[in-house]
Amino acid sequence: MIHLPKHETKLMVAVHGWSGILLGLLLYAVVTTGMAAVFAEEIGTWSAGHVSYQSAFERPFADDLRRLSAQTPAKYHEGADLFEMGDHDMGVFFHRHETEPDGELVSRGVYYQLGKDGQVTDRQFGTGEEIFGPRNDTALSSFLVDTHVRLHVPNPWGLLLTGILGLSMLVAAISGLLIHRHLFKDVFTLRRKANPVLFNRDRHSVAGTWSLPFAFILAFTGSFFSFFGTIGVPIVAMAAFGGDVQALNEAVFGTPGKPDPRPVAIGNLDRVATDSIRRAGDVPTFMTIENFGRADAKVTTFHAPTNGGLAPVSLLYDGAKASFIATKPLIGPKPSAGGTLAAIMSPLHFGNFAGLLSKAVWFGLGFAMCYVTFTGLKLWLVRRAAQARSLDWLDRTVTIVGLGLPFALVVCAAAFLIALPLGSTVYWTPTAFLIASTTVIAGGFLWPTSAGFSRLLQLATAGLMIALPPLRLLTGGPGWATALAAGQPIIPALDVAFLLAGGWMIWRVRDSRPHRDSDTLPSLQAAE
Amino acid sequence: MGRPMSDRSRKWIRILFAGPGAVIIAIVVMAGMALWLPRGAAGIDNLVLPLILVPLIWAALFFHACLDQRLARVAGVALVLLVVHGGLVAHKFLDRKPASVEPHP
Amino acid sequence: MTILLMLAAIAFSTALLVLLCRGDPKRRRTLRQSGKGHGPALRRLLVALSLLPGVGYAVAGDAAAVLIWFGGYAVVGWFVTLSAAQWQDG
Repeated sequence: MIHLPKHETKLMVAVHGWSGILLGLLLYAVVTTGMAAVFAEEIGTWSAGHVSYQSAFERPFADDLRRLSAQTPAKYHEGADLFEMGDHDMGVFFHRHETEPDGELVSRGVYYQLGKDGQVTDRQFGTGEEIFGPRNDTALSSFLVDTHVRLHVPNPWGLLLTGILGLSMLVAAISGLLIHRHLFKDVFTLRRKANPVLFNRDRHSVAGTWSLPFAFILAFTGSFFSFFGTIGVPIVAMAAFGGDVQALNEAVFGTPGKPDPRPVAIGNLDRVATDSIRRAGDVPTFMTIENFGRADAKVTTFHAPTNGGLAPVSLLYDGAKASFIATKPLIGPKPSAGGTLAAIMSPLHFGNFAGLLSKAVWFGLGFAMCYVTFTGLKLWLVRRAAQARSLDWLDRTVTIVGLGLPFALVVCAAAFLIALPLGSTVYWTPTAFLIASTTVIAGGFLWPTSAGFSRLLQLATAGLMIALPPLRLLTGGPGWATALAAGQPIIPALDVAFLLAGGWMIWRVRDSRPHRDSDTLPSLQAAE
Repeated sequence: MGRPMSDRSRKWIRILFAGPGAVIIAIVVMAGMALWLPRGAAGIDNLVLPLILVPLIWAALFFHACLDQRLARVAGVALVLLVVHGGLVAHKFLDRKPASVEPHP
Repeated sequence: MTILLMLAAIAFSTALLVLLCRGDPKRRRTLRQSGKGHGPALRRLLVALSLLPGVGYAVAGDAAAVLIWFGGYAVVGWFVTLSAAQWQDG
């Protein structure tokens, strides 16, 4: 492939290795939870036992919204966001944009949740961030997403950290390409019976080669998301608008038009919803109303991409007349190169542009990323095993994180299912993760051999995965017949996925039992 | 003068450009780009493209600093980018006439 | 893009990747298998054929399908290699 001179190749090998070993464990945590978060929505449905299938936008909600707007102080009519919450209930957030004393831009207002009968089931006042924290029915998917996005480190530091991890993954992908001389020649070569260095090198580079373009895309888009709001927007706003972030937002996301503050009642939003479903071929994922109750009110609906497209579709309506104005690009008032590029960043990262099929493929790619990161760490260790026995602690740490993290996540899911009927998932989901992690860390360092502990962890994870579907049923979750009758195939599908994944792991651990354990260092193998 | 630099100091200069240099220059380039990029059909390309491209700009600077055998070229490219974009931003801020602030749409 | 067509496209590429893996000269050499494996011309042909569905989707201008197919191609290629290594050990 690419032939660098010897000195440069050596340098790239060092860059590849050190970018991996210094940040690899954290990166592994981000990619593992990212892989699971591809199905965050489905995991939410499965874990909370949601069986409704009809979207909140398919039920009449316009009159309820008028009633709520009358109860909400007029200053929060600047914007109203509508989206689905819980089991296809409607969430409404009346808000206005405010700048905090520290310069942070927030949206503050009143949030209402409406049940299927239109009654208010929840009412809260605060900023978007305060209101949209984890809830009893979303604690598990929130936990996954929060780990992936910021590793639970407070803003903006968590995002900066994951952004740096994204860059280190980008560096690993590019340097990996540069140092691999026989990229295509080696793409089918996996020597399972070779010495540990070759064995680990093969499995790392085969998985890395096949998934290389996507490693690049996922790392690039991931670091874009992390740096976008934390560094990018403030700096570009500083350069272009003298620091006025609101002006930048207005230019990029705003809807152009002359302000007209005359009070005019909002039009029939049910008509808007029905029309948008007809035009986009799917229910809105989100609806936002600017200047609610004014003559210049604008409604924008967002929909999943239509056939063949990557970017979500958005439609613009006149709010007062409830009439269609135009199909609008997601970003910018008119279609443009920059707007299109910005709009495909999220489908490229999340793989959510064509339903379950694209998500399944992205999950597979995420699995490849985890595998590449983990085997990369193993390879680094195996290469040094002969020289330094003192790296045993690092070998144990890699096992603890590599196999302990999936274990702790499955424990989280089990704890969520148990705590769901008690209403305490928001506390128990992260707590269970901490307890499981502490146990794994202690066990990992106390267990006689790293290999033995790795086997134990895999069996425990597999056993728990198999136990999840029965646990879900025992704690009051809907059965397969109920779910299927309600048109919710996700629940049985995830049950089956957990059973299969657990079974496969047990089969794999049993399969690797005889004398040669692939995951051990040669020094440990010799001791067996 | 004119004495060739020692390997040690060459190495440190390279590390300086690949490490903190790449980060600072990528950020300054992002800020400066917003001022010279064409605004495009929707008038937003100059605002959006720097935000999207910054990870790639950083990666390009990083690998250039690692791999270009001519250290002078590494320093040259990086410093020219820094001066041009830093200059654009500085000019905008020193030129405090109200007309220099973009009108809000 | 329909789901069935996409599955068929990925299955088609999978079949060719299996062939490519079986006849891969380097893989056969490291396994000390008899026979030399495919020649370069045949391999190029098989690679081109395996990429055909992606080219088709690209010509049709279906960006979503190209990405799904290409992502699937990457995952399948890796799995084919893993399973081949599993089986040859018995």
